[in-house]
Amino acid sequence: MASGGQIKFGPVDVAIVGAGLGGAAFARRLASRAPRLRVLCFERGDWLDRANLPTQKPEWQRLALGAWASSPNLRLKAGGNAISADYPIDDSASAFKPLMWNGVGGSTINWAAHFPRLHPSDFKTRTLDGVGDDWPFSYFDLEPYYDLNDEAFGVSGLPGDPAYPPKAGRRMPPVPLGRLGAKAARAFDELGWHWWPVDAAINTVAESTREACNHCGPCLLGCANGAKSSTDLTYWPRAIASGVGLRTNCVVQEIVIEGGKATGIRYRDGSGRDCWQPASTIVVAGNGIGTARLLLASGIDSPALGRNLMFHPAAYVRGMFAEELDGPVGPVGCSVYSHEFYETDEARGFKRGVHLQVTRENALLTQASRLEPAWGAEAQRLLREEFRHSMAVLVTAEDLPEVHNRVTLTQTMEADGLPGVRVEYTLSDHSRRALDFGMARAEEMLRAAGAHRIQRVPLAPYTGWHLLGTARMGGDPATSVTDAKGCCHAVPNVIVADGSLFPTVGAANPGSTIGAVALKLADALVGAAP
Amino acid sequence: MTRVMLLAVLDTLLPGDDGEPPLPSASEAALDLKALERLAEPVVTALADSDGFLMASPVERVARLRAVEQAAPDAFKALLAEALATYYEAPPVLAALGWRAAPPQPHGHEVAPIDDATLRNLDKVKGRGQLWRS
Repeated sequence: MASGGQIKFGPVDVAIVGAGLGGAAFARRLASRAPRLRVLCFERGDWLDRANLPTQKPEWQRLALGAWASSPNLRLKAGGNAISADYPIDDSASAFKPLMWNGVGGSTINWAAHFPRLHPSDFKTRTLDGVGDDWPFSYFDLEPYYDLNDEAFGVSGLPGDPAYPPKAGRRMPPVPLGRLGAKAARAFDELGWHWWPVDAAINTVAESTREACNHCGPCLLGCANGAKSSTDLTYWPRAIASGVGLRTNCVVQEIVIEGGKATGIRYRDGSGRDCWQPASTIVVAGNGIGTARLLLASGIDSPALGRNLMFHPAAYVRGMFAEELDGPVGPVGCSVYSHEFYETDEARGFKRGVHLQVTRENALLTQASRLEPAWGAEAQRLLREEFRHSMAVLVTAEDLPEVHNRVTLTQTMEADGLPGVRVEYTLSDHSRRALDFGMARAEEMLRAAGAHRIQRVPLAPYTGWHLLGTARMGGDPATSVTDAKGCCHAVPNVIVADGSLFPTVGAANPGSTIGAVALKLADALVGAAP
Repeated sequence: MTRVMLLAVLDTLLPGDDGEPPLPSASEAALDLKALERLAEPVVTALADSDGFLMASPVERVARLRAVEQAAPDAFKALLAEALATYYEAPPVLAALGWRAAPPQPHGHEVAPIDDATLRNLDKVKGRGQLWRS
């Protein structure tokens, strides 16, 4: 409620919370489709300073494990990051540790920019396979928005992938496969399995003010030359040029609701002042944890809110090779992938499927820091065997919605003025079976490629990038939080526009779909067609 | 804690190898020991018998450090993390592993482009027809 001592601003039509992928796409689309709307975005963090990124510093490897780690908890433990306005997350009861970036661009700042779409079947898992829930729209309803989002990000890749319906031509050639990717491709061919170079939101040729990727490696530390797409480089410059406002270092404390309708937001600005921003519509895009946290803290009453948290359960299989491979060279998430086992085959003992992604390796120090034993001659022998001689296959499975996997508030009031947040997530037997199956297939491929030793990582905790499902779309207010337009059942002028909306998640990365859905919802708000 | 003792601990953690080219031990890698000195203090204290550690064989030193790792895990972990970071940032270590000392940017790296034979194999993949369901 607006109160004395507050700084009060004039009303806007749309206030957006979060300048990550969903918020940026929504803002840009609104600005282009309804330019008379007054649109203002509030971002808790700051703009990235590309001239000062770790990849240009001798100590970059240790920064990747500390103040520039992917985990906000690790960044806070290292003293915090001046740009990412992190809040602690109690992840002690979660098999996967949430990863994110809390600044302009959201987690597109430190993502790998692997940019697959979901499959058509991912939108109707209940109808096709009797698990999960159908989305309120289909792949083909979303397809025009996938294309728009691709255009905004600038996708590198190759057309013609038979794992997907035909897609518009990719704007740039694929990221080079390198020795590692070529070797994996030959092995997939030998096995007769599907493979394809990844779609990546990475410039492989220079465009405008952005350079081409120079294969420096650690994409997760932010991209110094701007080759990797992030919304601070794609959507935001255009949105701001179109009149959208973006206030940084502003932590939204509460969506104020009166008589079942949101009237605005209360936020704390960069100077710690309490501010009041009235708005006709509130759009929340703070990822599957941040969005749930704010909606819960604002008292939105919805039984599904915070529940059905989904990651993409992840495991790794690493093969060691006699010959030299690329090691940490090249965009870390980008080589080739296989969707041979993406669609359901009930003979495997589980429904839905797995995504196999041949990734590049971590930095030397990261590799050295996860060895077992961790020190001594044997550790150094293992590192010598592995460094620049390994190939890692990331196995991700389709998580299915389960109400006990959830985000809740704690009794603690955090330094950012919001209640603390806790994540509870257990890996289901179904996901375990899927990961085990995927690991066996990854090992098969690595053996075919000539690996002389295989190492399995059956569960990789620090892969919790994809924070999904906690404010899911659906028709029933008892089991969903929003309708098909992202409007909360409980407070219809509060719209969710991020991965929290996903009723199911497929087995592949969600970024492309988050952007496409946000564009679609923006059109829905102003009654526009694609 | 003496410098000799600190280096003895570090060399037990990071003994190097006699590969080609050889990986230097911690003491051979000319590490900056400033931060390591402070973190090593509780570990050396937990070792109790410093002279005994210095006189012990390499195998015995490993056993003694393993005991400290069990008895004082937080202190040991903090020292190990800093030791690994300092060591694997050191130019002689990077060179021995065939890696450059310069950071990833601004120079980046070369990656082999996709070759024609690999591209041709994609025709076989395409030839399998539609793999998606709807």
